[in-house]
Amino acid sequence: MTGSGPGIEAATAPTPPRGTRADTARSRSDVTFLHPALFYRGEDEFLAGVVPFVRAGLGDGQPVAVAVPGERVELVRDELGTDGHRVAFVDMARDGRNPGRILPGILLEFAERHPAAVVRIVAEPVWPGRSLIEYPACAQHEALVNTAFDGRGATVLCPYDAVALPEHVLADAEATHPLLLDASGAHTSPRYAPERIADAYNAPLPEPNGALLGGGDLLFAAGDISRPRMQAATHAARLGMAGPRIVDLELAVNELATNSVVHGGGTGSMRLWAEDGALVCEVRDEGLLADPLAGRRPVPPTRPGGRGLLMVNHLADLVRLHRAADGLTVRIYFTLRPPA
Amino acid sequence: MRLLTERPGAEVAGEVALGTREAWEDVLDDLTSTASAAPAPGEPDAAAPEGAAGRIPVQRGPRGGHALEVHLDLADLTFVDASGAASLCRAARRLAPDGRLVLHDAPPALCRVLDLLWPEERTLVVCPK
Repeated sequence: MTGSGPGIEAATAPTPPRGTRADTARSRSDVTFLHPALFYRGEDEFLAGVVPFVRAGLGDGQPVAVAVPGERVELVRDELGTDGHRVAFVDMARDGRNPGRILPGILLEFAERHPAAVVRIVAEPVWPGRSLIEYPACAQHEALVNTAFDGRGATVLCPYDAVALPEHVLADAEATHPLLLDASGAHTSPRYAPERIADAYNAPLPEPNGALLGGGDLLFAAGDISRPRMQAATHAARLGMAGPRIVDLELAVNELATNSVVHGGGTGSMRLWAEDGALVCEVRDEGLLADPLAGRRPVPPTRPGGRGLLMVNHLADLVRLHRAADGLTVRIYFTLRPPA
Repeated sequence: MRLLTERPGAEVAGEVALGTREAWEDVLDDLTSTASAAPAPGEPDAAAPEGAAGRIPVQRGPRGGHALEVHLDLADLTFVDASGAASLCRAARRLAPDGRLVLHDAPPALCRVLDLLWPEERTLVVCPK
């Protein structure tokens, strides 16, 4: 199958003809970040794009990871045969269910495990099962990937199901990926503008789709920093959330409340509700969150602070953010009965 | 907080969050500075009974070779946030490589944070509640 793909090798190494190894591109690729989208129509095109990409990386001695949703993990593994033994597989539907976790928990985590190498990753962040409430966080993630990898040698190939995904999702992918691949070959994206996507999806969050629990907003400050997490835990227990997940929820709510007090003007307000099988907790404050990558970079183990949002991204099933001129809103979703 | 009498360390109760961050750091500073004045590496340590590590059900650190162990009894601690866990890891590193910090009855929140953010930390021995 090698050589039958849509041509990421040829597209990224202009000198040698298509299908040959680009040794001369090596030194350049040490610091070059490539982020192509692969628009595939059907399983054959998916494999024809992904498998040669993986094998070319292995052939160059690059560390390779494949993060795709659910059954696609086995699909790729089967197709790779023994080559698959050298690939790190990740179920994106599980480990990347919160799109805010994909950078710190999957992509950058893999890159940092191989600090001296140019890494190669297949990452499929959007699939037809993604909900409407998750999708904006997926688009924001994709818009930030380019900044997150700036100055680091890596290639992240993002497959998009061009048959099943809606037109606007594919249009967004054209704006977040500088290079587009499909069965016809590789093209520079004419509409590459990740900032536009980051801005477009930074919109006010829809009003709660359920009655507020506990009678409305809970206002908090430094003196009662424990109340938000305790209130969240009480309601989670009433709704039947499993014990270990209540601990996760408490940790996440506590970090949001702490951020409000420390970075968000000293006070904040929290509200809770149940929506589509999840407990939703929203924390609002007057913070600005200037760094778009806050919570999306792994933090070196020796650094004293700066792990609040990172931990929230690791713990929650979904994190939605809205940054406005007058404050920050963070909404976290914890599924009440996650699939086994 | 109460200092342990039977071995170097302390018993801590309550919760570690924004309001108790400084008190928590003070406890850890005290314990690790006292510890560094304790027996030099390799010398017998009267305060840490022989075989103390043998009672530890979960061992994250390297086996043996620790001249000094500082123990934290956390049975009455209900919650520790990310910053509190970071302080704990810094304290443990101050003891390394010759000493180590042993956490007894660590609350679930602390175990979770350590697993998530410091999965490779080797200077801490965590015994969950």
